Amino acid sequence: MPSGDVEPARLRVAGRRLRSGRGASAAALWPAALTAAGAVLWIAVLLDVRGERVGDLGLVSALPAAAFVALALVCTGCAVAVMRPQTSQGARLGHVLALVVVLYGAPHLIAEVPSFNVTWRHAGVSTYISDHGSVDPSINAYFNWPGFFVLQALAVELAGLESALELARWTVLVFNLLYLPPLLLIARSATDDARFPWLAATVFYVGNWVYQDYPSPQGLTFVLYLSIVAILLVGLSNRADTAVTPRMRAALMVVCFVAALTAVASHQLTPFAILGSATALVLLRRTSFRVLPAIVLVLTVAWVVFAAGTYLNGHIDALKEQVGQVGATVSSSVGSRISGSSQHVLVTRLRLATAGAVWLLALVAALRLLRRREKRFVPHIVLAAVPFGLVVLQAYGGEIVLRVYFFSLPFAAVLIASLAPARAQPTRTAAAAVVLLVAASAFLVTRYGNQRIELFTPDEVRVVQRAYELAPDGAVLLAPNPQLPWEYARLGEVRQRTVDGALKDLPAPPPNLARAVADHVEDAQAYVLVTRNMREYEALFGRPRWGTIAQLESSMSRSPLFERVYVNRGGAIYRLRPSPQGRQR
Amino acid sequence: MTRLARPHRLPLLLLASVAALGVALVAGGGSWPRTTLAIWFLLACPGLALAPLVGLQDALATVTVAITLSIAIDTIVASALLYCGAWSPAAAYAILAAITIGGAACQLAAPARLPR
Repeated sequence: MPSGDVEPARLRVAGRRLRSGRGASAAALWPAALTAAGAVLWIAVLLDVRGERVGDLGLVSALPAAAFVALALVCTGCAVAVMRPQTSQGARLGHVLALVVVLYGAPHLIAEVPSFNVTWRHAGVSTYISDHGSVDPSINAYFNWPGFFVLQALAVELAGLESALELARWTVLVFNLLYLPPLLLIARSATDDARFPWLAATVFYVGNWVYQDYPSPQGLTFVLYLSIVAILLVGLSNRADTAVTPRMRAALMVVCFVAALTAVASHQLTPFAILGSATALVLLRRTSFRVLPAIVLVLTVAWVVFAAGTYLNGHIDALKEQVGQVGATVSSSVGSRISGSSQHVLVTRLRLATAGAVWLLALVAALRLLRRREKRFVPHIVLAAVPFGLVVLQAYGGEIVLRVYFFSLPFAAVLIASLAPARAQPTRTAAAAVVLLVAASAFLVTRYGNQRIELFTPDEVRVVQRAYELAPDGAVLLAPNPQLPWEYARLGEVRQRTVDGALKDLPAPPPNLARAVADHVEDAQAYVLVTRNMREYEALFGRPRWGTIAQLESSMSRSPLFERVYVNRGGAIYRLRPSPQGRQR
Repeated sequence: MTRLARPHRLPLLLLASVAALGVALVAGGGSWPRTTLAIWFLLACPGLALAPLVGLQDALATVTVAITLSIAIDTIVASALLYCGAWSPAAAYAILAAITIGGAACQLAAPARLPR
């Protein structure tokens, strides 16, 4: 455990430490110069990167060598500043903020329009709330847990924007900045070493490749999860050295309560992570707020029964089947993801290796800390393990292992940071810089490895926009797969489905794809959208069972059932011709 | 000119933020300053108005509580309006502004509670 730069447990504020660092020599400024130069170079390089150069390896395939020089400068400056005992807390804050901006903000500079199809879908839910002033759980499961979407709708209205899509580009960066204060508090509860919280935060940021921090309920409620745990560990701790009065304690309990209530109203899974963590801290006797687990449980059950009853009624059997199916859950989260082109398989394997390395290092650190009887780390060891219990609950659409990693990472990062050398000798600091550069480079591959299919072009957006203009109420919009910027408008007015979903029950590839699609939609007015990104998706992950997008387009072009009504460089729209007597089957 | 006492700076900043966003809402139109102001208001103001009143003598803990409270209060207020069938961004702003003004006024009345 590091112990070189000890501060009292009651941390002095960043500003005060900043002043104490004013007398530092000019030698102390060179890490800042490195980080600043690296960040500026990184942004300049990224502004020149074109989305169409992104290949199967994701963002790194489009980066020039100068980008890695910039990353090396930032990592060196950051590692030196965090490791050196004479660095002020304010300077450490500046370096970590620069690292966060580089890793989480700058990559979004290359996107011409918001990336990631789910971001568009989430914007659509908020648009519906703005337009209708209500939620309709029968349209979409998101309306059963609308907290995040309501907040996003309010932000859009107060900001005077047209849509949440205008906020999307910077939401990832904002969320990650919001994670920083509770992360620092959580790490600070383990040791008095002033470097330690920054080390742990750095490990978290280079390890957070799972991309759950996009504009989403889980991205927002992660702030609440971290904050509740931080408050339980620090403000509501049972430790004798906490100077918290009964009045403060009561106020902090109220804060935990409203945070838990917000999480319950916003996301299905986060309340269970909060419940598990709070229960663990109560069982460890590390918090005085012993009724919090009961409160979270009651709130969660009450919300599911009364507010999310529509979802529960429609999914209760499927949810019950998944409980305890650990093998199938892990298989759907891990095994089924290792597919696609050879480079994408490499990205997937690197992701698994990163997750495995993080958990392995955390385990090694935990065993080392337990052998040394470092009791202040015991809650962090347990909190890193608690999220694994979520695997027992359900597969969560094949994503549960990603979520387990996300919830476990803050505490695993604290444990891994404890492996850092206690004394910052030049060779050890240099080694830390190299490790950080390797980890940050791997992060670019693991985090942005899907960019080829996640980046959209304005032409693709225009295809979807045109489809919304053409489709009357009740029409069906079909796309071969979900990789397109849709569902951001007309929620509840048109049905939006994938051909993958529509034809999944067919025993064999249909001989006439156009007719199979027409049969699926029956007598509804239907439009089939085919965009550039869907072909990229197919090239990356392989063809679906029903056929290829090229076969579908060819079939629709030749079929009298369809006509092409719109085309641009981003894609095309095929309309199912209306028939007065209904179509012959 | 007399400099403002340090404990007064935060509540006055919060009151200025409430007023500036109010003016922007009345003026209408979208712009990046208004977007920045709205995001700052939602993510920081209600919490920064109330968190210092908890009395924690630790800036990091106070900031953590402030962010948490802001997100929670915004979401609860907006969701309550929605479920009551009274969705109105203007009403949500008014309620959040009242909370912020109330908290800021309490800070001005009892500046000694601010974290050092």
